[in-house]
Amino acid sequence: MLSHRERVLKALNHEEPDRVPLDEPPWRLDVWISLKNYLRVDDDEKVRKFLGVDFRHLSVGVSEEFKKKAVFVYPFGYFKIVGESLLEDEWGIRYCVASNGWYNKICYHPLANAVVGDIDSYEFPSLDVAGRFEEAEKRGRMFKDVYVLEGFMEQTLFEWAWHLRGFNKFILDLYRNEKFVNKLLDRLMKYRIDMGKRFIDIGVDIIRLGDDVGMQTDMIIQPHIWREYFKPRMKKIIDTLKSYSRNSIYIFYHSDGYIEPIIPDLIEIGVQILNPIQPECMNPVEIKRRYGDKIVLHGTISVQRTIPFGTVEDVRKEVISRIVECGKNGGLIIAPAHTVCP
Amino acid sequence: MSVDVLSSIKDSLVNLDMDKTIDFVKKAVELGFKPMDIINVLADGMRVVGVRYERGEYFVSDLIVASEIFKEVMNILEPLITRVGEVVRPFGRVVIGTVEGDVHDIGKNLVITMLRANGFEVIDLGVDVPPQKFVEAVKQYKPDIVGMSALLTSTMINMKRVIEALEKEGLRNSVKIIVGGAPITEKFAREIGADAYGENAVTAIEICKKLVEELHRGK
Repeated sequence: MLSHRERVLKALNHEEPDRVPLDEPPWRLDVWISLKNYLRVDDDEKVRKFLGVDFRHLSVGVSEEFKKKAVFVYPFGYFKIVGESLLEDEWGIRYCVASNGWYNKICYHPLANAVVGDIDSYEFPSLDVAGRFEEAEKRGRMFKDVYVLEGFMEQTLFEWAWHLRGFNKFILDLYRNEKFVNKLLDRLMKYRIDMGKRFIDIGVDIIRLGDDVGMQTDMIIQPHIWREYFKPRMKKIIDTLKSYSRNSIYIFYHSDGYIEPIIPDLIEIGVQILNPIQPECMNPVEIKRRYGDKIVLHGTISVQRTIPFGTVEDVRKEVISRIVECGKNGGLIIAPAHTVCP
Repeated sequence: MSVDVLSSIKDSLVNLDMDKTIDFVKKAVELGFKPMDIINVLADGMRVVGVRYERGEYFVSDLIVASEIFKEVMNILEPLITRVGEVVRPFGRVVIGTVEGDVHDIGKNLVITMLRANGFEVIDLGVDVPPQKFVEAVKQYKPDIVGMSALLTSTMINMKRVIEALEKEGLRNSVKIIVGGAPITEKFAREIGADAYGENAVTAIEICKKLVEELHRGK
């Protein structure tokens, strides 16, 4: 039997490992709790070990300074409470919490009324502060050489830009405010490069990039808009980080939904792992057939149909079918395609 | 010249040019065109945008730009409609919201603008709307249609709770119900007792028109 690292590296290099690697299922916190109760453990690590998860995830943390002004709001993390069911993060983005306490919606965007001249003076949360990377460094030391480490930088450009600006406003900017878009995206790109370098210093094997640009049956934005604004910047991030890591890291790209028009572009700019390939939106078998020699399929197990509404047997059948149809020559990492809810 | 201004408004909207559309609208107002004539031409433009979307030439981002242009123009025209005293009889009245526990609204908001552009009166209940609030809105506004949106598999089941709540109050037959959102399917819509499933913002409009006609025939 291979070690966790050997297994994943084989799959990433398009060789069939002893079994298909499993990445950490993204489940809602209450699902984690139920699982720990079911397994009679009190520790997330024991769950991962029991399941045989081959990866460990590293994320950027909240600064110690911000934590002094914030509280831990279950299940979201550290936020300032600025009103009833109203939270604020380090960026100044505000979130309204839904009545069931499980989801939130951005209801204030700090750059909503900004003009291009405001972008340089808007302060991004500093990466060089206490609290930012300590947890990632600790996990890196604990899990390096045993598991494959992933540094999380999803919502890389498009998503963070609209979080700061407002969704409809940023979409309008893409059509009529080129200077604003370029300035904001350039700043975000540099920020992400600096972030990625820190992850590489810690020793991650995979950098997770991504932007949700897909919907159920189509892309949100015109592919040519993605190619104009986002493709070159993603390429710059990838090239810089690959070079910084002396080509040791793998590049992961996440987008929910249907994004087939830009898959060749993603491969062209150096993306090696594509997630989640929601089967309701893109057929994983087709994606494997067309691009499977160049891209690793990651995720692929239905969270819109099979996991929430199917039986245990349905889930088992889908996983087996995915392994059989998409696992040839490696290039497959199994996980639920999105957050698993209770 | 006069025909040119109106068709320029339509063309600018169809080509998603906000600045030109607003300029031509202001020009049309100066030239003395009635707000309703301008709105009708905008509605024509939105229909063309819808056709382009159905053909795959336009994407959701294009619908969003068109809807933002429409909203911007309506900000200019609405005060004029009140001043002139034009009474606009809407095609139908719709109460719409994202169901309880769910906060996603991009699709819902697009549907709202497209409905308004097509002459519907729309009452937006917002997001995270509990069943009781839908019931109260039906009692208060007496809509033709109730629209519900959800993005999450864990919240879509709340659509059924709204329908049951309306049945309990004896209001179910007074409205037509349309549901939509990423995880929603035709099959799900039928199973929960909805009247229709709207796959996207454009098809939803045609379906809503048919639902209003059905409802009025039934009455």
